[in-house]
Formats: sequence, C-alpha cells, structure tokens
Amino acid sequence: MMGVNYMIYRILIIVLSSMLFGYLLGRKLGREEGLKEGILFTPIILRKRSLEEGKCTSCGREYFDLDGQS
Amino acid sequence: MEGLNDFSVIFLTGLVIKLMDDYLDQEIDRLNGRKTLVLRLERGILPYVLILMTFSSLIDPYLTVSLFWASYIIGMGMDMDGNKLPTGLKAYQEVIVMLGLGFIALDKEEFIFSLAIMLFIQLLDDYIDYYLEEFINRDNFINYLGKGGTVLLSFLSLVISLGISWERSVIVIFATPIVVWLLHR
Repeated sequence: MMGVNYMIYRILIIVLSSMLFGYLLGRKLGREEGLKEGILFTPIILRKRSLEEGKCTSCGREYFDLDGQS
Repeated sequence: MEGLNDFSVIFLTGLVIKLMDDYLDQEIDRLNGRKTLVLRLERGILPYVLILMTFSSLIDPYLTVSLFWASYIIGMGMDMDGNKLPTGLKAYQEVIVMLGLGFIALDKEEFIFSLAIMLFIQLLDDYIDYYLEEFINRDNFINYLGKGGTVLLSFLSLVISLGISWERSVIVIFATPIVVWLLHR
C-alpha cells in the first residue's frame, strides 16, 4: 500500500517538474523571440500608422498638405 | 495527540512567520490601506513574537525551527537584487548558508517538507496578491515565473509536501487562512 502511494507521488513529481521545466524554457525562448520580432516590426508599424494619419507618429510633422501642395 | 501537537506548532509558528512578514512589509500594507495587527502594535510586536516562538519550541523544537527557517529561506530567495543584507552577505549566499545549516542541524525530511509547504503557501499568496492588490511587491514570483510557472511550481511543491506528510500538509493549509484572518482583522 505504501508502495502505490510512493509511486503516484514519484510519477506526479516527475511529470510536474518536466512540465515546469518546459514551461520556463518556452517562456524564456518566447520572450527572446518576441522581443526580436517586436524590434523588427516596430518601424513598419510606426511607418504604417504615420502614413495612415498623414503625419509622423513620433514628431508630429505633417507629410502633405491636404490641398495636395506637398 | 500527535495531530494536536502538530497543529499547535504549525499554528503558533504560522503566527510568528506572518507577524514577521507583516512587520517587513509595513509600507506595502499601508499603501494598500490594510489594517494589520503589526501596524496597530508597532514596536510592541517583538516581545509577543518571541514569546509565541518559545511556546511552539516547547512543543516541538525541530518542527518549529524547520518551518521558521524554511519561511526565512523562501522569503529571502525572493530578494534577488544582490543587495547586501545586515549580515554582510548577499541574499542568495545567506540562503545557501541557511540551507546548509538546516540540512545539518534538522531532520532532512522535515526540512524538505517545510521548504515545500512554505513555497506552496508563498506562491499561493503571490498568486492571490497579483489579482487582489493594487500595489504588489516587485519580487512577486509571478514576475519571474509567469502565471503558468507559478501554478506548476505550486502544484509541484504541494505534491512534494503531501508525499512527505499529508497530515501536516493539510494542517498547514487549514491553519494558514486562520492565521491570516486573525492578524488582518
């Protein structure tokens, strides 16, 4: 009877520590990847928004006059 | 009788640990507008804490010290900025020293049990704090492990403590809310 309990605890400990290890590794790698992706995408996103709004998102200068005289 | 002894020791040591924790976290409790016994008693708290500790030492000195050291180590381990502590050691060095002393001086199984159950309580507390509180400590475990990691680690520590002594684990789990309720009215 003692043996069965012992086995269950052992299996649970092994399963949980594997899951924890995988989670933490995935979290670490995911953060690094996400940071890199963010760095790559930020200029594109900023440019897109600037073009949509017609003015620079960071400094606020307008690209074109609405009359089309540039 | 064994169970009653265990309950008394766990309850008293729990009070001591919670009082010490409240004493150290007074600022954050004030920010959150909580009323703790420590905030009311101020300096008077120290003698009471020591007296409570002597009571539980009379019943079972090894379990008392195990639980108290474990809580100290878990609480210290959170402070990972590498600040020098009053002893002149860094937090992680103090953790290593205390772990070493614990394994030499205390019953190994009891000490591992204490570490596991304290980690479980700490993680649970961090998880609850994360959702309930406006201001949380920067060294909340969720900031290091993420939500999933916190849940997994808390399950792992619970399984370890249940494996070593499920009776005591259950006592700790029931005693903790009582202690918190008593001190935070």
